[in-house]
Amino acid sequence: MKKYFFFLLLFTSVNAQKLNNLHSPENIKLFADHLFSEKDFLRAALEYEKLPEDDSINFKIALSYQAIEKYDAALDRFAKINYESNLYHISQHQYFKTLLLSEQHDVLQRKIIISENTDYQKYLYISYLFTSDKLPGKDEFLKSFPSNEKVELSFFYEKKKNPPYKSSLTAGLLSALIPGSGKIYTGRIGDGITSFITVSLLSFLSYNNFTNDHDFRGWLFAGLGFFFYAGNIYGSAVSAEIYNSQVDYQFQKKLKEYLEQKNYFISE
Amino acid sequence: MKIICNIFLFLILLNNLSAQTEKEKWGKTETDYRINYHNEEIKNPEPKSYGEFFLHSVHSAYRFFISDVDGDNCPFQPSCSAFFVESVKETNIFQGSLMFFDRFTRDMNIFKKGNYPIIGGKFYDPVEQYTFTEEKNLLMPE
Repeated sequence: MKKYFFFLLLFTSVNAQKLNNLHSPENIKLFADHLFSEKDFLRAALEYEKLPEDDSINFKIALSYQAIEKYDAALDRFAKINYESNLYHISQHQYFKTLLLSEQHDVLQRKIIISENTDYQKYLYISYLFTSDKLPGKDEFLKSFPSNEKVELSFFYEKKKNPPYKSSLTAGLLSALIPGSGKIYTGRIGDGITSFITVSLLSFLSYNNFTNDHDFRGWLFAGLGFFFYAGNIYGSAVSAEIYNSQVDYQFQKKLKEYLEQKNYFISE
Repeated sequence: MKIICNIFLFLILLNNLSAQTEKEKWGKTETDYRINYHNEEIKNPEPKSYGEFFLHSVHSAYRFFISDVDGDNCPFQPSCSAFFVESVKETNIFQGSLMFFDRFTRDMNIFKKGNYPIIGGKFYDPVEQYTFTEEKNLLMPE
């Protein structure tokens, strides 16, 4: 009786193991899909890579790599998707999105100009918003995007066409006329007031010492005052440059946030 | 048998005594509490010209007579004196001096908080931002 029971147990165990093959392609795919839906993209990609390649697997791997910012690997996978596949169109959109995310603007612009496909024109224009002043007319620019997004996009267009830059020359000239005013012009009010007080004080001390026949101290304060004055002109010009780079940085940050929010105009 | 055991124990004792060879490792170490200078070149300058020799002499004198006595009080990183040396190296004596006087004005501003990113408890204000040449976007405060 014991022997029968033992053999029965052995048989069911072996059979159960055969039936529940955890590493079958179906199970791997189920597990990978679960990881993907849980946004565990790195592990999802590793699981998908164990499966034989097809378009849907490549697409999922590419999306996973895109999500974890392994853009080159994602681009490779998107490029492998067959032209005749149902996923080809959406993969091309994702491909251009990946190029935008990885800031490969040269590649993106070259590919879209060569393809002459009007569907992808919007990515070219978005890329222009990031990189250059080659933007087309406003109507032409807005034509490529959905009509309900035109208000916000026209805001970005205007900001790119007419960025609120400050002129280095103006800042320098203002500071040459009234010390510190160039810094106030670039938004550094505290620095501007400090500059004005320092240069004024040193000039007064110099004047006061010269009038009281303390020539050495007069020259000392005059020299110091001159260097602070010249430094303030230089600093004002640089301050305008820093202001401009902050404008660029903020513009790009807002644009990226907006595009992320709109999923780069790719329908789910 | 007893003799063999004693010899064996003696050998073990010898072996254990000679096992620790890196005795210095456990010794007291000299701790340097001074904050590192912005770069090693400034700490140990090797002047290449008379101009640099003069610059480093002034900087060393400043460090010896003022900075070391006064302490690490500059709110910026790099400190104003290190900024001066670096700015002269990056550009020239004239532009470097202008950059230094501009920095000194910024140092005197009592409302500077919020204008600079804070790294290591100091306002990060590197030379590269003021040379008109480098990309500045990466250095902007959030």
